[in-house]
Amino acid sequence: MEFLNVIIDTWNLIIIQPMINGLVLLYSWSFLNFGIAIIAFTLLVRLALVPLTVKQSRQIKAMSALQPLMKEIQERNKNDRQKASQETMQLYREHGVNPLGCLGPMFIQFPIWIGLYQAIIQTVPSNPESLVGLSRHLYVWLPSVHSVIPINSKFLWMDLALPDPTPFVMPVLVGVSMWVMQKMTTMPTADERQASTNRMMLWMMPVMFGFFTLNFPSGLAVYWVVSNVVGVVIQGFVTGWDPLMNLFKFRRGEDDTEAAEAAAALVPAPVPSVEETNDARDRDVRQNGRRSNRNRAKGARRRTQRRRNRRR
Amino acid sequence: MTNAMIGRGSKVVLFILLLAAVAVLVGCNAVRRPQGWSAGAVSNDTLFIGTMQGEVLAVSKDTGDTEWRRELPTQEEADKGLYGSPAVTDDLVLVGGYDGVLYAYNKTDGSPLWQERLAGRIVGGPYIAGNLAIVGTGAAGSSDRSENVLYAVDIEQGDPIWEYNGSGPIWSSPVVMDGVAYFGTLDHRVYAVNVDDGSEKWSYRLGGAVASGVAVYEDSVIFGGFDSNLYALDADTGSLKWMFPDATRWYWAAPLVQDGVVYAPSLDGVLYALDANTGDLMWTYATEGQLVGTPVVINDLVAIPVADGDNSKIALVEKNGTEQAACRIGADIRTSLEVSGDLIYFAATDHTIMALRIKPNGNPDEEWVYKTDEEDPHPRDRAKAC
Repeated sequence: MEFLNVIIDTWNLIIIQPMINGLVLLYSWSFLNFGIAIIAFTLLVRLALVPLTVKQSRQIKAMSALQPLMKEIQERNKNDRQKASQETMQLYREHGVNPLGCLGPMFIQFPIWIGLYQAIIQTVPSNPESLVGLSRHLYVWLPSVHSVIPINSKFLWMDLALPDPTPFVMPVLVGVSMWVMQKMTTMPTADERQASTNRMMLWMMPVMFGFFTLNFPSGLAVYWVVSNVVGVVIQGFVTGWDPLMNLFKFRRGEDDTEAAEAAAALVPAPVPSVEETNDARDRDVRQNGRRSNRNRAKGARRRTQRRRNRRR
Repeated sequence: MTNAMIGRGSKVVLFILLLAAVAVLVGCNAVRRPQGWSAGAVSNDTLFIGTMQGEVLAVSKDTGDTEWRRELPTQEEADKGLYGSPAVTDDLVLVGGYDGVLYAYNKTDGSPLWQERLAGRIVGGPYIAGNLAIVGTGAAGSSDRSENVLYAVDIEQGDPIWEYNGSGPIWSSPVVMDGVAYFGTLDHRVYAVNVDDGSEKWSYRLGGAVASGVAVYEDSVIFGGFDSNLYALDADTGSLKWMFPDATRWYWAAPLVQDGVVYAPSLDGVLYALDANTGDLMWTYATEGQLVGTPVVINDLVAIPVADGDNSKIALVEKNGTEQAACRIGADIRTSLEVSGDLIYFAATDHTIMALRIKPNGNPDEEWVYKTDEEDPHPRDRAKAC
């Protein structure tokens, strides 16, 4: 129990308290409108996480670009899974892709998102217990945050401390924005099983969060919508708007197949053999040992392309 | 590690994270349900108190045996809760529900007499002044004036006699003295309103919300606010007499004034004892927890409830700030204390209602415990708290 208390205290000290005080401070600066404060706070947090988000987006893009190569490896080594695995890992190394690189930024962001949820819930007083609890988290040396408590939780048609009274507007907005976000960030794949999982996740997340919105304070729903919109915009600028644009083409067919084709277009060269990429890597290392993995992979592709052109 | 494996691995991780998020979110949501922390009121041989299940309970003040128990008719979980202490007359018991309804029960058998729905939530308990019950309403953070009302309700029929629209939610239990009701609001004001007709006598604006009740002592109205200051105003004019600024966190509970000394508990965990006439600090008693309820003086000791999780206790403090004894309760105590003879009564957040006998030497001794969430409210296998 002692250990658990230490963890909770540390969590509160590092994550919850700065967020709560930040939210209340923004509230005092935003005409005492908590809806605006939540939107501003979400934007600030997402802005602070842009480097991580961009890194994650680039990893997703790089993984997408490798899908045709990986499909080739899998087909070539149908009966030898170990070799397929080795070649895949080699491919990742060649192209400077860390297959877990998509997860790293997500792991770092996750505590922040959870903290933000808790901060919003604890900042909006819905009953006397939450108001007494809030007093523990406000900084003593910041008197301006004490003077605006309790926070006025009315925003548009909602009481941000309570679920959306309509009660469908915010659940639908959350669901749709999350679906678009999922669509933008889902990694295209040639593997049918993974494509199936992707399709499931594409719908499961929006439905689940839409359902949450029915029961949770609408302040969280505002946060989810803004966060998703910002996420979509960042993803769009980093990896392109194709997934979103494809939505408006009204074309039927397998989403992931389309995406995989789109990803294949990003790879300029036909599939190189593993031996070729090995040669390329060795030469590359000799020529410039300090070059980054990413540049190395680009160089390998360019050289492979030139070699093929000469053969033609 | 193939792409498919990585893909499946990442989905599994994502799914675990999602489950964790759901657990955290559900946990957060659970915190938001009102629990209530009704204080007790003793009349004759009976203790009347609200439970965390949203019931009104009447028990023998000496043995804790049930006399009657009535559940409020509220259906919504979000509305169940009783915060203020019941108000008791010769015939009836009045309680204000968090659902915004003022309920009247027969004092003897608990049969419902009447109920009156008011404009907003009721957090501070009603105050009986003659044949009127004075009670305030309002939801936290609500600026809707129609919800923030001080009512005078006829206690025989339950009909509102007059209404005073405050500018902010009224969570403070009103106190009536010499025909004037004094109360604070969450929009940083304290009001004095004439009980005869509901007209405003004066109002005073401070730097923070006022959730606490006020104490009226001689010609002073004494209260604390969310600006961490304790104020004494002239009861007649509302002008400031003195202010005490040393607390570091809000005042939630109403101060107790006795024999010229103000005992002011603060959420910073410190009980401040001040000269009621000058506001000069006499002594302090510091704890690690929060002081949410009002203390009482018993056997020349100040008994104060300390909310500090597992370390929660009833502390018995000498009138120089020295802790003489304590009874560890093990669950937060947010209620104000009620005293009758050498017994003090309170409720804890583990669904217990407890009576402690304070011996002449100042040591506390558990008299009885009532578990409101168990079929047998007097479990025999339970070790005494003190």
